[in-house]
Amino acid sequence: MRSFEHGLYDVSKNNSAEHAVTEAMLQASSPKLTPMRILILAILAAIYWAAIQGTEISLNEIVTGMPAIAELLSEMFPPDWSYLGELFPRVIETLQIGIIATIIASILSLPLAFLAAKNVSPHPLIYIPIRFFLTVCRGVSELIWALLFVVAVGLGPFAGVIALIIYCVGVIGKLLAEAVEAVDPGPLEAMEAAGASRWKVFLYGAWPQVLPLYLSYCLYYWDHNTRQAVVLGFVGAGGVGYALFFNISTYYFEKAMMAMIVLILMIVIIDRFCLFLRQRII
Amino acid sequence: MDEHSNHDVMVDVRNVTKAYGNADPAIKNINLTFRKGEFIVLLGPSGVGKSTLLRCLNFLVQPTSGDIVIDGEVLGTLSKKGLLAARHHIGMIFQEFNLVNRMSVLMNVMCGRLGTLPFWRALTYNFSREDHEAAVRALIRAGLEDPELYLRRADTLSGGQKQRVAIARMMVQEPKVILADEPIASLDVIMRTQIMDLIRDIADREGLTVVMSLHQLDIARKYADRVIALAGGQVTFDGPPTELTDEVVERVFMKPASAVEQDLRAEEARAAAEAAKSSNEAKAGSDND
Amino acid sequence: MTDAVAAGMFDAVMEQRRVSRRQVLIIGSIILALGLWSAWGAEFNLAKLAFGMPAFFDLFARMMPPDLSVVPSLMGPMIETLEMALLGTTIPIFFALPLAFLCAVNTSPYPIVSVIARLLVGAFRTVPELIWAMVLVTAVGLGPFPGVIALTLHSIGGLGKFYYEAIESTDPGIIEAMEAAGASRFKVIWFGIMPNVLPVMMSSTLFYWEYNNRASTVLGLVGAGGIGLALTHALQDFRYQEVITCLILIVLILVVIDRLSAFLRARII
Repeated sequence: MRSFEHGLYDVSKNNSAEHAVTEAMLQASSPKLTPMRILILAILAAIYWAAIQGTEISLNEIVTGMPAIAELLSEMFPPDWSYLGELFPRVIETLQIGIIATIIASILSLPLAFLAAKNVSPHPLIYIPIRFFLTVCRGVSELIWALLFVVAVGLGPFAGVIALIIYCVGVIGKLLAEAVEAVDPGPLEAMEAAGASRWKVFLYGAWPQVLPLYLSYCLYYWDHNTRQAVVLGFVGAGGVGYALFFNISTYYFEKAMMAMIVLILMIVIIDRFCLFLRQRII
Repeated sequence: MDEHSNHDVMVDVRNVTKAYGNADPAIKNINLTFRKGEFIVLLGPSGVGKSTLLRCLNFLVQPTSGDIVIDGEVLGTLSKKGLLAARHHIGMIFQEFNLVNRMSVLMNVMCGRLGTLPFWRALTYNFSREDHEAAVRALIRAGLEDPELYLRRADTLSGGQKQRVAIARMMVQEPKVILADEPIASLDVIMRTQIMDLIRDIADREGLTVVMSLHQLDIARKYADRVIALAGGQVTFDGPPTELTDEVVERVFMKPASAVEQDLRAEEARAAAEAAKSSNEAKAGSDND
Repeated sequence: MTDAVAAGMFDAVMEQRRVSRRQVLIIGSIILALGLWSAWGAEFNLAKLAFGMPAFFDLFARMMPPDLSVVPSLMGPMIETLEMALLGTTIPIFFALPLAFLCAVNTSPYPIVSVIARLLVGAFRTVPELIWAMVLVTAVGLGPFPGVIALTLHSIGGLGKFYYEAIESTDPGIIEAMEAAGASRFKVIWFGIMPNVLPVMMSSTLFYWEYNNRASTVLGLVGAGGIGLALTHALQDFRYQEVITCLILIVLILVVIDRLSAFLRARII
């Protein structure tokens, strides 16, 4: 107890200057409940409440639904291992869809990103419409694009590939354009001052800064596209996804489970591979 | 030299005004002529229009009215291609060096020749042997003699080294005019003298016209042939450094000469600290290689 | 001497270029080969696309002009979609955050826990929300509720991964310093790690909110509510002009969410 009488813990030696500073620090670090903040919190709470009401969430339903889910799970196990043989070509198909879609989208998004970046685009009349075009490509989900293109090219993986390309170009195009806009303008100015034309300024001033980001996006979206290729099985776009959806809708749950397991394994492997590549390149 | 023969005039600023948007003009009715081989310093605190005037000289910023004539060419009348060609003869260095960090030192220097690089070479980053050799010669001239440095990434260099690279980049253009926007503000005291000596030396040997913006009074006094002070977007002083009396200084900087001295000392101390920090980072970076 | 150095430099650089050019050529060939093989397997056929475009444009023509009279009736489903996305992004936070601390190698109590946690996160993330939705619709019926659960489950995985990556990228020096000063594990996390990872986490969460908004428009296709359901019904009944209205609204939602997200990003991060 002695230490409390002397020195550090001796509160009675109320050093007023220290006290004032501490008070000030406490004030600065604790969040202030201004009327504005209370209002925002109230609005958020209201939105949340409405959302919960609107989506009809109820823990009760989850509880009553539990037996159904449990029954479903029991039908899924044990997975049907004999299905593996049929699944293999489907897996290859899914991989192929992912690869070709990413390659084409990566190539197409480059010129579009160049034109959509405020600081390197030739003219606002070009940059604004292209930006809008990219937004539309991104806005409509891949699934819907696929549904639309099934009308043009029929069922099968091709419709899926086109859908993935359109969406991916929209995303990578936007991200890349933003990256180009965020580039350090200094080197660009220097190139301009030395008498380089616009595209040379881009290639030597902006591109070296943007390249690692570009590669990173392409890798990330390869992973994403392979996963989406599964979803596109819904529109008959082939691959593991089609197997999955088909089996669920025809109640062959053990086969569906097998497909699910294969799917997860496939993604995990691709994830690892992407990580490995990322470390090598960036 | 009191008589100006037309062959001697390198830069002619004719009644130039620049206003950004609807704001008051940054520079108004500037009329100046610079002769071949002159070392001009634009003096003044920040915000008086030095940067704007400097950037008008190579049309990085287009004047709202008036003309700029460089070596007989009226910049305003040139086509896009013509302007690029004209810029080839005007070299520029910046306060923040403006190198491309991820590129090698050598390639950074060769970028000075981007203007004349043919299409396919530019697309594949393939400079010619001649470009490489010119770049090395320029780097040696700029005081960077260790070839090991040339293939390193530009961001592994210290501040002083980076500015030397920037100077080398400017030299491969073989310019007639050198523009410099606060080239020493990010360097420490020792580096400042070295870089200023380098620029002066290059300008003298090749007979180049230098237009440099500075706010460091003592440097201006030491190196300039002619000091031009701006205030409120207009020229308030134009003469040799010997005519820079305390009274003029007070008018230009809007505070007594002694206060200006103090500011300069404080800034030097700050720059020294910054330069030490960045050279430590550069060393750490190169250690990690 | 200068010219010798210069020439030597040029040769050194050329050698470097030759090596990296070879590498680029090899990688390029691999990608080209993969591309061709994939294109064949995915039945990529530009001619087919060219011939199919008339049918596509015909469909498009049938969608014009968009049927604006259905907009009021679509308000409800649209709000439902937004609500699904909001809940599907915020509820997972409570699960993803602790899970992320278990996944990250620098905060996990035992390595084995980290491995299991990562597998769990991976599983949740990999299964597309559409599948979760399909399965859940079978269990709890149609409507937005299974949609919310589907999004939640998927987002636990997605957010979890972003979170634990952020946690793992914390400067180990900070953790060391705090542990050396005798701080408990909780304090190390709360005062040492959280302040650093909070901006990244908020950024990732906003990213997922954008993603979930898009995903929830699609979940309706399997009956999980929202505007996707309205679109499916319109499609099944061949009311194409209503379909395009739904599509326009979907794009509108995205644009608004994009703007909102950018605004929030600027204010909060």
